[in-house]
Amino acid sequence: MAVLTAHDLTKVYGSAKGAATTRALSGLSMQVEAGEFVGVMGPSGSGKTTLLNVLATIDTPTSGTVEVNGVSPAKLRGDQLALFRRRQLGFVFQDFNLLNTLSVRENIALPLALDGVRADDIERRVEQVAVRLGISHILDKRTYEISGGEQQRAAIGRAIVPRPAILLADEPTGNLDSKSSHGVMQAFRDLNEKDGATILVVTHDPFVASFCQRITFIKDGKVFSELRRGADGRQAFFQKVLDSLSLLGGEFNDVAASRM
Amino acid sequence: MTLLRLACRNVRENRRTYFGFLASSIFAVVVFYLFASFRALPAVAGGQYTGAAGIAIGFQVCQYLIIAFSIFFTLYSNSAFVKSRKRELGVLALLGAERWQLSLLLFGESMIVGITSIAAGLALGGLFARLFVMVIDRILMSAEPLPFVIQSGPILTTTLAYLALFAVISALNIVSVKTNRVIQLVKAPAKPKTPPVYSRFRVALGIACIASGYAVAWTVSEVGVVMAFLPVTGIVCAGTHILFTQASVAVLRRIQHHKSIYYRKTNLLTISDLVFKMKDNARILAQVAILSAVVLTASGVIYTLSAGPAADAVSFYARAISFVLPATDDSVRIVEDFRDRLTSAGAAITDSAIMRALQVKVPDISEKAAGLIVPADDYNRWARETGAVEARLNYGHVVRITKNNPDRSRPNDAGRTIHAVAGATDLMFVADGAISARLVSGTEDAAFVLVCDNSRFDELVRDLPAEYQKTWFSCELYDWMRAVKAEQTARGAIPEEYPVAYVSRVQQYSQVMASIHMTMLVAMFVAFLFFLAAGSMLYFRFFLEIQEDQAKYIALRRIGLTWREVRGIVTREMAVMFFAPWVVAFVHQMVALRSFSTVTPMMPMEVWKYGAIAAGIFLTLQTVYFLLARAAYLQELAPAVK
Repeated sequence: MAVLTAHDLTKVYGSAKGAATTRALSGLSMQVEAGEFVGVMGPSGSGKTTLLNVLATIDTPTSGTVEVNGVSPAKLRGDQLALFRRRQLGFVFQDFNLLNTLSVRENIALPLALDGVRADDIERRVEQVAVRLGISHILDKRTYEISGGEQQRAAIGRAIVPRPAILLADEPTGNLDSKSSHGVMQAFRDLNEKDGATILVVTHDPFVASFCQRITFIKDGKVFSELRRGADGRQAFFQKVLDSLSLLGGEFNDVAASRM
Repeated sequence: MTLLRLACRNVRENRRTYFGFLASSIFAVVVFYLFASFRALPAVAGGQYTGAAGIAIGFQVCQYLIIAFSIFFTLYSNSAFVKSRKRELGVLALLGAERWQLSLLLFGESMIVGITSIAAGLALGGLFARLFVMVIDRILMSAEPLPFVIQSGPILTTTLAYLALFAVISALNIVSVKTNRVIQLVKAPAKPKTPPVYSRFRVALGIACIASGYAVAWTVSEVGVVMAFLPVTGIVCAGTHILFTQASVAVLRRIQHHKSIYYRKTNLLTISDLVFKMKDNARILAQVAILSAVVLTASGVIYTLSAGPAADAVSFYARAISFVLPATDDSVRIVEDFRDRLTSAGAAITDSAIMRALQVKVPDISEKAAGLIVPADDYNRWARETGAVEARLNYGHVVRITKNNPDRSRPNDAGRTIHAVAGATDLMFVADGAISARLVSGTEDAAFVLVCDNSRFDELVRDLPAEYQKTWFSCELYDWMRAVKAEQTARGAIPEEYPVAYVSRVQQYSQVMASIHMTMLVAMFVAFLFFLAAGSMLYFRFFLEIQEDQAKYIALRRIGLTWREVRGIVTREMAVMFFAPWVVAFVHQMVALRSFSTVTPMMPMEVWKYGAIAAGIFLTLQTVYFLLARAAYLQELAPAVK
């Protein structure tokens, strides 16, 4: 069953007169099945971020359609759209986006509280999520008292606690060192493998992508190629990703040898 | 480019950032100047008026409050402003600017803002002062407007005080930048806030301060009230500060422990945010609470002083104007002339009565004062016109007109014999009880009125000597409080040689009001100014923080917070900030008014009643202020967040 379907997405930025327009997406289609862990890779300017924003319903496509669990967010207006985001989509951002006025526990509890879940249910579900992500011991700490990796895992906790249809992650390790990155990606994989969470990660980092089951490469706003992990180990898959990237061309940051 | 030119250019180019700081500084100067110039007015400073001594002390307290207000307000605006400029200073430091250069730059910038705001503040203040006094004069219906002169003293005081203040602030800015490393400057806005804490000891101390202040204010006697004024105000101010810095955090922390409340919808965001906002703004809120307490108390005093005499006058004088003339060939013509002049001078007569009358004494009613006997025809004409109860009398019967409820005052009056005296003549009547009507303003010459049946009255007119025969005029006026001039004009109708027994509520009231006019003027001015100061402080505070809030709400919108929820959070946070000080101020006011009641002949309950009405009026104004501020804030937030 397809959780997320994007069909023929086009996004044109710039003036309507067409004098100085940029085509960020041109006829991109993709699908994510339930329980999949998908990576989207592409060089700078390939349209990754635009794609994620459109999928996240933060931005609207110039043409084309997006469906999440059979619902088209384009038909929703204003606050309905916000509620849709809150219930159906989980977000993990590069800069964590945690509120520093709240403790880790409260940050994770926030989406449930907003949705009117009872206090004791909230407590229970937050504890469950924390155990799954290995952050039970820091629940009562403030966001600036914990490491970047812990912050990102707390952010993942906040994203999955309402049990969204799909988890969308934008460069989730962009602000982290390699050890923390490993922990965060491990957490994503656990969620995917043990809880069957559907995850879509946008990244330019082959290390991050090597945790996925399937990688869609995009270039110039279109799908360029696709790579499936199959029975490969992560190391072998990582090598394949590097090969595909060299084929894709464009600018990527150097891959640190330590991450191999 | 010299440093000074860079400073000038920075101010010019960063107009938007500077605008908030500049506007709030100008505002602080305006408030300071208005107060200083008002206090220095010859009519206020050297005037002989009711409560002048008390007002002098009140002014002293207000002066301290205004100084505290100026310092806090300017410091706060400045710190918010420096925060927004730190990154730029950090970049300059990265580019190799030396510390003394940065210091000089910052000093120069602050002084430019300082001098600009002093100049603009004085100009605006001069303009407002005039307007202020005009508005107050209008509200108080002053007979003669307060002479307003621009004096050099207040201008000099304001300039010097603010130059000093800005110099200190500039110096503080330099210190704060010096102690920061470049990295702290560049990353300044991202620095997280540590969660506020409170100590039980301090909460207890704050409560003790307020409680002891209240206890003194509550029990103080008329003599002690002036002496206790300063120390009590001081201790309650201190207590209020502690209340807002400590107790607010304590209360909110308590709520955070109640998960079923704390985790209910947006409460999580509102309360956790309020913990920080209350603590950050504690001093501002305390200041606002104190200023508001002054506002409420001052307006409670005004209201008591103005409503008291009006209510007294109405209850004591049943008629706006009432007078008795000797009945002559001319007397009716004179009375009609009086009535016409009243109308043509702009007074609106609600009803008037011209009655024939006989002046008699009734020892049973009063040994000294005389009363009037009027014929039923004359009375009934007036009664029909105004809807009062008509008199139906048998021969030799009379009925008394009283403004009290007749059933309560003299239940057994009916059937009694009334014995009246006109000189040497004894007159006997049968009493038919009393009719309740607002017709008789008690005076020595017409303390009571008896209505007599027509035939008996005609006999009496025939029998009694001319000296007992009178013409009685009385009337009620619409908007009688403003009829002073019209009444004076109309009095010209009565020839001076006529012995007239004249009683006027209009006159009595205007005399009382004249004696308290200056006191009210001062109280009104203080209430106005402090209300403006208190409300604007909150308003500026919110706007100085809008960028932080905007970033936070954008982040929350991305994870699915609805715009309606954002509005709800903003509304509740603002409501707490706007109305928490009012609640504290209201309690302060009630205690202060109790002290005030000791120097008035009134009971505390009466003063409280007027105080509560004044507080209600200011609550309404504050609500309007709140709604406007909220709308403006949301409008500012909407483009980025909605």
